[in-house]
Amino acid sequence: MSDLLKGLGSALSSVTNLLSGGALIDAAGNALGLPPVITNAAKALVGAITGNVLLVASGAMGLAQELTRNPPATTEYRAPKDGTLACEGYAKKPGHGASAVGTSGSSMKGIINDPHMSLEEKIEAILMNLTQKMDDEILQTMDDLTAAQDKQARIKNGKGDEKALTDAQRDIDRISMRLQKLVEKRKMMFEMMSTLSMKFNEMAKTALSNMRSA
Amino acid sequence: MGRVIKHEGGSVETATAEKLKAFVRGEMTWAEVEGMTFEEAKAIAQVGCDLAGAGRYEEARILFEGLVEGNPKDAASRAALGTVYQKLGRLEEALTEYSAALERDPGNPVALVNRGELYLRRGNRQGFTDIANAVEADPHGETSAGRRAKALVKAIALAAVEEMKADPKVRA
Repeated sequence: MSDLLKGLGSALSSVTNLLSGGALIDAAGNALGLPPVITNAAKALVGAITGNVLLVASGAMGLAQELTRNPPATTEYRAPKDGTLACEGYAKKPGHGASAVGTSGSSMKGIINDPHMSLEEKIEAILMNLTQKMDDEILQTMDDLTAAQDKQARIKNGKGDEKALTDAQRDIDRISMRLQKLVEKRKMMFEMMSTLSMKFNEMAKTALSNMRSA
Repeated sequence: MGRVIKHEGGSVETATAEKLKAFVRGEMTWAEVEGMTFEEAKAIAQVGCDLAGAGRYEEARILFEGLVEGNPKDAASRAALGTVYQKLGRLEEALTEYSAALERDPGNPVALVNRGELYLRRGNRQGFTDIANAVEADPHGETSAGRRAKALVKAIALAAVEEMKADPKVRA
């Protein structure tokens, strides 16, 4: 019975649409790829402005169909697009925050606040974190250097002007200098890690020997 | 919430004790104390949406109330709970949940369109703004709420044109 009514309604809607000239707007809407809601509103507005009652009825019917398809208070879980806001108030995934190796500032905080790590482990994890950051920077600088050398080669091959060649050489020198500084910094960091490890070892040894002698 | 923190032998684990203290101070949510991740919450919310879709609103209410208790900062759960309240006829509570959701996430289309409709039913003009903001928040109609907001805007525009035609003074 309801199928019959639906069919009847659909047939009446088509007839109303055809008689009112709404089929033209439908065709235009389809050609422009407009969503049905906008086409229906256009029909209704054109009908209202021109006084075409049938066109208004056809547009209103389309809108009513759209509203029926999307009823009020439909339960949906729409999380904010901002990931940080969405995850606020929830626990971090395992492996986040307190991991020994990470790149963000928050992971550093995670290491410092981790109650399961000893002071030695925390220092070591932070230094490892910094070393990894530095390694990434060194790799990036090496990429930059390769790009600058390629650029210089292109200028040479293309017999470019002297000024461009000098600029390219200056770029290479600048990047090489930066690379050298980064490598030195990394060396210093490694030495510091090694020294700290040695000191911690010495401290433990002294404590043990003190305990033995006591 | 299903997990129980056991108190064995007189000493609670230090980390758990710290978390509980932070919860009492209001620095942590219960979801964080329990270790519930966003992905887990999302999966539970999906079950709630399915229950509501099947018309089992009481069960959906229990689930969403649990999620909101666990993390009152979760705007999406609050908006979903609002829709369940609305379906159950608890309109005041629905409005409260929508407003709370919008405080955390002003671009939540579910909360915007449903609060807008409730306001409009009460003759509150803020409803227009909410529905217009919902269209802006979901311009491609990714959510059912966004699509409804679009249709409502068109219907409102149509009604306004009709009103102008009927009343020549307004037209002038």
